[in-house]
Amino acid sequence: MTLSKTSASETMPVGRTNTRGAECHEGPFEPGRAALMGDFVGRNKLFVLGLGLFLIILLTALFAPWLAPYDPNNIDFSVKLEGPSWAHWMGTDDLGRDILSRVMFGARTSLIIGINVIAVAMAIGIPIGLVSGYFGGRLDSILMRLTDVFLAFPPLLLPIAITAALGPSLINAMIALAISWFPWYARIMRGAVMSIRSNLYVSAARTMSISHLKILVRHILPNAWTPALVQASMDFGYTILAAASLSFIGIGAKPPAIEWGLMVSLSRSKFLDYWWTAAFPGLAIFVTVLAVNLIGDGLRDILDPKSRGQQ
Amino acid sequence: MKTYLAQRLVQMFFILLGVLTLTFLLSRVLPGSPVEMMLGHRPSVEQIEAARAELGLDKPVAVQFLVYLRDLAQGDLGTSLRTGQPVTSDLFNRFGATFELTTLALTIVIVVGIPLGVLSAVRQNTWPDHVVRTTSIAGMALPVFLIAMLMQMVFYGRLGWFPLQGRIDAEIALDFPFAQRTGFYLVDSLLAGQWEAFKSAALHLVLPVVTLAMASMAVVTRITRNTMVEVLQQDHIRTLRAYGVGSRKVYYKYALKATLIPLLTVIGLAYGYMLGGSVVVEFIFDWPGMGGYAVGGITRNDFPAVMGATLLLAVIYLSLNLVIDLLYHLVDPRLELK
Amino acid sequence: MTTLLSVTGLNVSFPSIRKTVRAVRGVSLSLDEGEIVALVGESGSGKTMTAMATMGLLPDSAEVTGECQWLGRSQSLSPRGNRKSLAGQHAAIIFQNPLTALNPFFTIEQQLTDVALASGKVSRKTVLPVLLDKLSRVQLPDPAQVLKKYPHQLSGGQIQRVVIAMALVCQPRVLIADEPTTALDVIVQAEILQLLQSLAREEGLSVLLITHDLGVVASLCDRVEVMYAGEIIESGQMSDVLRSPAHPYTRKLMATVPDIRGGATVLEYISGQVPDLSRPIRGCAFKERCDRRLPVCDESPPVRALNDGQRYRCHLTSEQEVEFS
Repeated sequence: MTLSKTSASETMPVGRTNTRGAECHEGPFEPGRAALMGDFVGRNKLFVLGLGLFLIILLTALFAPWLAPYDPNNIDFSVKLEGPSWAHWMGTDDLGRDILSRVMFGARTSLIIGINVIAVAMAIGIPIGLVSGYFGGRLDSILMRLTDVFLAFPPLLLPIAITAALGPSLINAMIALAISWFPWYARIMRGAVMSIRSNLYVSAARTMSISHLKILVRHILPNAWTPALVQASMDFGYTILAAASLSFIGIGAKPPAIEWGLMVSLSRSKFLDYWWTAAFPGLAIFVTVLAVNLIGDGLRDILDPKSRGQQ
Repeated sequence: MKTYLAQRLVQMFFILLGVLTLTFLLSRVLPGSPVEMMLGHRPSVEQIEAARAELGLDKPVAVQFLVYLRDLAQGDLGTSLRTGQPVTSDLFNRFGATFELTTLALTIVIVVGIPLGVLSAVRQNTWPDHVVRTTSIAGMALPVFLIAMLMQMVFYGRLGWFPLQGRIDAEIALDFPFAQRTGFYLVDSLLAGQWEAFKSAALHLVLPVVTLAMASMAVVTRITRNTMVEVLQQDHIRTLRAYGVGSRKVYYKYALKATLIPLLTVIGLAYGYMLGGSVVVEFIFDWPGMGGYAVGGITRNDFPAVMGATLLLAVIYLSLNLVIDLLYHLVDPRLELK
Repeated sequence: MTTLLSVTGLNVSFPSIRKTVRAVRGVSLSLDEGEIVALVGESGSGKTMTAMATMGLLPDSAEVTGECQWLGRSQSLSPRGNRKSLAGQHAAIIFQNPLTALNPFFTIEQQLTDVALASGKVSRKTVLPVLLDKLSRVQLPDPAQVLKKYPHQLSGGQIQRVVIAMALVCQPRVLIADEPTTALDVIVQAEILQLLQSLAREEGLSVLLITHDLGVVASLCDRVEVMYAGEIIESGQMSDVLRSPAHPYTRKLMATVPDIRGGATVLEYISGQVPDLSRPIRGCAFKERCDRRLPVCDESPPVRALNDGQRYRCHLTSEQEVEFS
């Protein structure tokens, strides 16, 4: 869906005091990680499916200029609004452009959006979370109240408002999405840091009067990044969805950019008669997000063993 | 409980202040300047100065913020540049439409989505579970606008069962007028005894409501299932089952209550999605609600409208979270005395 | 002495598409009336799986074979079987973490009542005095007050007592306690252990105590079963096994326990890792970590018996052991 935004573990703590005691129990086995991966691929066909789909999409995006049968911007009124055929597998749009070629080039846009938004959101959120969780105290509460403010908006609404303020464009939509997304990374990072901060090696490093920066970068960050990575893999799909939605309502990508949400949007006046103009770009969004979500699910399985067995 | 409530209110006040600051800042950086909106192309420097003074844009930012807060306190969100009406009254007129849409959609999600999640958890790793899980994973990848257009294509385009968009047939609304009392067309038309109007309103509601419900159903079902699975694995549930307490009692008395708080959270989350999703859904179905109003405002640089709608939606979401927080306290004995 | 519980040839495995994890392999054990038996092993050794299988509490995905008898009557071990089973009639199990052992949303009274009624041994009218009696038997002061409380209003030690009382409500003959004190602080630990001991002595309750703590074993138990990699590798009277362990693993395990009186002895640890139970194990499961390894260890070790019923699963005879050391 367009608006999903959930935390990495996707299970609510049971009650406010989260008692995870059941997990202290002796598991059926504790084999090595390599063995676990092997088994994992075996039982997680969905993960493999997601990986396969994503690989296809990635290759399509990379090699779009060579793979696409037509120039995606080539206007040819003699073939406008033609249904799927051997010449145009996904039909043509109202300007006679080949939809398959446009869908292929659209993959580039969507992947670039996903990568950029997540990267910027992490670049803002992770340092905030690190500092907040490590130093605690007043700084922590101020920073966390700050993230509260960003999270007080219903999903998708804040990106819309920010894009509106910056002016509708794809770049601004990406900035808006990153700004709306960063509090999640701050929160997750803070939680991870706080659980690590109490560990012995951190206090040991502290007593040896190693600088805070060094402790943060050398000792805490390497041990705290896993939840953020899991979150990022889950968010990638949501970001693509949200960006497509922004383009769809007319405040994201603008022509001549080739973006799936925009393609669906432009087909709105005619999709009732010419279904392929909306269906194929829509399907492309669906398949991409599905692939990414399946991968995210699988990654969570590997990297966050707590949730193993719940999927 | 009372001190907790006070604490919560204080906390909410500060978040609200933050939200206000953010919307204020956003409305100041809007590049498509409202001055241009007012004056059209190529205004003279004097005209611009005068317009800026009129809008209060020449004063220091801090003063502008205080003025903004003062106006807000008086219920003044500015004047919509598009409709020429006060934003407050525009929003007031559109509130009912959004509220009717989201309430019905939320009801569907609660009545269908949560039981599906519970079923999936209780019948873990059997075919109903696989079906529910696969569907919800796929559902999460569907953009809401695609669901909406699919609905329109099938139920309007092919089958002709439901209207394409709008909230009520314009002619029917004229022929069978009814007074706005609750803002819910379904209720108002019934109160007025206008059966035809009720029918038209109901038919118009179906597609947007189902679209909106489907858009958050997947997430709700998934979270419900995972939470319930976690609860069912807990020692106290296993203990009861080990002692032979009947599975009905275990599921519906003990497990369900332990899931209630997470479920409340899920419902809050779902409502958030819906408020966000309503923006897109209202846009597609030409639904005269607050979300559609906001989107319409963006493309025409009507920044008071955009910020007013954003602010109101955020406040609704915040209040809902407060209510849910208070409900926790009714449900969870561990929180009663804090 | 009546044998309350006997398990023979218990196997637990978790089959999945590509491989099968064999968590418990050929475990046999028995429990007599009034006896406290310890099941010792490190985490992952299969001790909890053994207990859960005996109680019929494993998830449906587990494959369980073997025989189990409660007071001479056979009981199916399949997890898909009826849960209101002989195990439920004769035995009760208490888990490690008192914080999750009770449902936080219901009072002690509500939970104990439902358990009592489910046991079929108490009627709704007589339930209250029974609960009060059991609570006082686990030495909880003011049982009437305790009944009105929610779990979060009690301390960890108090909750563990309530959990034991809950077990007693069902009037079991056997109590399976899975690391009942690990989550508690040392003083409370001692109190709970004492309580278990007195219940065994005074009421003839048998206890199967699952633990990794040899100190607990020494202070409480009559007999010991040591598990490693899903197998029982040594068993016998507590004093025999702890004083003269025969299996190299048990011996190493003993050496890892710090001796308070011994002063500054070097604390040992066992190097290496527990074998991957999803792969077939050739010969002895402990051979990779064993410092007495012989060529013959690639073959399945025999079970050797010493005096007084002490048994161990190893190629090494006691004479060879003497030569070694």
